[in-house]
Amino acid sequence: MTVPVLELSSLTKRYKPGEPPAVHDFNFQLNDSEIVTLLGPSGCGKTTVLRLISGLERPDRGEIKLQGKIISDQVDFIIPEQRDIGLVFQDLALFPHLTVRENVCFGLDCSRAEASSRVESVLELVGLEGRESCYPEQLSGGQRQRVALARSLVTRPRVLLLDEPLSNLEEELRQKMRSDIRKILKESDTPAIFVTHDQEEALYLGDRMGIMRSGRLEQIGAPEEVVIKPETRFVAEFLGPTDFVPVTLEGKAARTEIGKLPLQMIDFKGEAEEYDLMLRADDVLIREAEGKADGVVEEDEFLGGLFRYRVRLSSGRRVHSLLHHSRLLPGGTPVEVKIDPGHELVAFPRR
Amino acid sequence: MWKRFDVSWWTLGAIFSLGVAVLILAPVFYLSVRALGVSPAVIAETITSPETARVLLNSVGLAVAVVIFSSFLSFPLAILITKTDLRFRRFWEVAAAMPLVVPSYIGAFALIAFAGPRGSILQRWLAPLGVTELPSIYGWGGAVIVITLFTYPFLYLPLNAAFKSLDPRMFEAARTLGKNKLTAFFKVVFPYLVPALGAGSLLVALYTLSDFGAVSLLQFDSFTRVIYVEYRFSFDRHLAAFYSLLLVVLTLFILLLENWFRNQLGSRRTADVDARLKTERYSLGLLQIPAQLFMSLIFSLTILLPVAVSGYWVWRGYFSGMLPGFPWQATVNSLGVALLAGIVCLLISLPLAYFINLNSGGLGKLTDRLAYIGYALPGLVVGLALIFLSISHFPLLYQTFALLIIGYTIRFLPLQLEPTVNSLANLNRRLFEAARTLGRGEILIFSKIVLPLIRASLLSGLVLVFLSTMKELPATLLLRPTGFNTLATRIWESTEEAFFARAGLHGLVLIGVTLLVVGIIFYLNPDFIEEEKV
Repeated sequence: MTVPVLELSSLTKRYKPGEPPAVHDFNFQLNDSEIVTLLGPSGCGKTTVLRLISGLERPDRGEIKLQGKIISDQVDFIIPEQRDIGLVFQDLALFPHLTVRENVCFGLDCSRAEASSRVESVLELVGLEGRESCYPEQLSGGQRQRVALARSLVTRPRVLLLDEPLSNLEEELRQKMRSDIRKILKESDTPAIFVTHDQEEALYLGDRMGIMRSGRLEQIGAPEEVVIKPETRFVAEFLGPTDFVPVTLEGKAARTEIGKLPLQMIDFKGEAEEYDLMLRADDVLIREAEGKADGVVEEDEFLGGLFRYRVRLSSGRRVHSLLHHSRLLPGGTPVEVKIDPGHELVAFPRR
Repeated sequence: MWKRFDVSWWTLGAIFSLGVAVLILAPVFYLSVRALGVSPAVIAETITSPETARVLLNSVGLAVAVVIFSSFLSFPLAILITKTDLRFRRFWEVAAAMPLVVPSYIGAFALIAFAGPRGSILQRWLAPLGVTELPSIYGWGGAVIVITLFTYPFLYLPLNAAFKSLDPRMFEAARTLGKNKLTAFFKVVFPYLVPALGAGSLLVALYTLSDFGAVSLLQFDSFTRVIYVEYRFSFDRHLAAFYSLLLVVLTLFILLLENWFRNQLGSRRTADVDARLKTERYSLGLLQIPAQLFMSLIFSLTILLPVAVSGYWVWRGYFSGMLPGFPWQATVNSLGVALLAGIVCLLISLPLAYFINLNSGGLGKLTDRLAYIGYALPGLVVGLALIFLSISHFPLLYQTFALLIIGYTIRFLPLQLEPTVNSLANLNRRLFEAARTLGRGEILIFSKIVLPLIRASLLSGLVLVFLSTMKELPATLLLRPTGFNTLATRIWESTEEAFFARAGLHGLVLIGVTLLVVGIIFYLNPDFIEEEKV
């Protein structure tokens, strides 16, 4: 069995006594060449996890192992400059008084020929050839991003941490940068943890994706697995938009107000008396009611290729449904509603 | 703030800061012991004596008068420069701040040598008309005029800055809300200026109370002169100690108030660049002429007159053979102690500023505050306190260079510390963290990141301490080793002895050297003047 590049066990960090911990009993493994994205609402402790790994903060409890060697626990604490872990900051923290080359050289002894050829190849990798003698303020947002990345990559860190590095870019550039970053990380074969609050970014970039909540890792897995089969109601809602309808058991079937499903189609989480079935808009089909209607279209949202309809069920609950744009159902239309997932659904204990 | 040092570094820092705090506080503490260490009856008698009341009233009265006259100068200056189409604005803006470079004793010398009752330029001109003696310029009148002319920039500068940062949209908003121009000014503009006005006025008051050169030459009995006379010519040093303590209480109180106003200043938002560009300037029209005359008058009195008067006496001395040779010794002495004081303050400031930034709470804040007390300590009081302390406890230090440099350090450390602390605090701490995750340690971070990024602030602090030490008179007068003269002590003594040619020569050299240093710095580092406050 191979040793994970990075292993965190029951990591806990509390900034101020009396306040809830920023990171609480955090367990996590990063494998070779893997990119893991950590996603969560602001204040969930994502950044703190990175600061703990890089050694900029010292955990209150728990241990961190780098390639099987302890770098932080109750006894030992390797200081950041000796960890060999790169960190790309949210505000990049480029040295304003140094040129692109000097910034990139900072972590190396650039008088050596070998180092300087490494700088060349990293600058080429991130596509900054020709800009070596510019100062950060002379660069565009995307170029600065690349400098920050190059500066960290050139030291060949054993792990690269990225703290929402794209959050200050405009949308178009973001999309380009995120695919570039993935390419660069894969080409340089650098295992990385990428923290973000942007769901699309996390889905795209991560080989695995972790969802954080109040300092804990709520779920981690392949992006499609996390999206389709969330472990908790929080994850389901966070990766929303998500609707819930009550589900009851009737022999071998499960009954909801919009139809029955075979029991084996539903994965019931936890132990409870009553459950809610999680439905995403693509799991629900609607059509104009011919006989008895299940609900009424309340609002239609044109998304370009698709329409998203909000339907008010007879019970008053609302569900969403995605339909092809050729099927136009104006507001007020009575509709029949049907669950048509094509995959296993998840039900959570009623709140 | 940066939790990067381990405990031993922290301990070292704490010990160092404590040492500096003791250095700053010890003299004043010892002064209090000397002043209060007599029987209560004596203290009571001193406090209630008419002499004490007279000196207190003189000092406070002088400070109030100077503040009032300074605002009469500063308001029109700031308005003309920031709000009108005054010609040669850029020149006048700098010229109006220049008096700060001229020490008050040179101003006093200029007044005495130009318009003194006997033997002055004016009296000599009028002699053919039978004028043998002019009305006295000594006492109240002279002191108020001279100190106002050379301290008003402490008020003019913040006022100017406040006018500049004033968002014109505030005024416009008030008018769209139905206020006429006058109401809008008093409801919106004036309250905006109050912090600058308050802080500036208090600084003027602080410097007036601390001034020794002008009041002593113009024979005005404010605290500093009386303390000096008591110390020099009386056997009982108790009164000197007691008055010094009273003066420090007064200046400390003013410093506290000033601090309060300055904090208010910090919370004001400034107009963005766009808004400032659109600032409407009132056309002066024909008023341009009196405005130019007003600017010229102030420039003449503060800069041209001292230079011209000095030049006149040097010229006369040259022809009458009374002129001593170029004062090499005093010049070298002045430059030497100034450079030494600058370097000492720099070396103390750096670790101290690091420690203050590391400990944003408790100990750091305390050290920060203690160091700033130096602002409130008049040079005369620092000198006197160090003499008392060295004679009684450290006789080996008495009349040594070391003691002189300690005196300068206590006085001028804040000038270096403030920019250093601020520039360190303004550094993005992510830069350090980035450097550390790139595998670099403290020493490399300091030399490659911290030092280059705070260089300009360090330099501006160094220049401030250098220039202030060059000008410094009272502490130098008291603490210097026997036979040691600086340009400042020479100017003061020569004026006292009515040796105008010698005073003028030393004055010209002092002004010349000062301008040269500022010029060189400006040439080497054009951005520097931006940060310089003098």
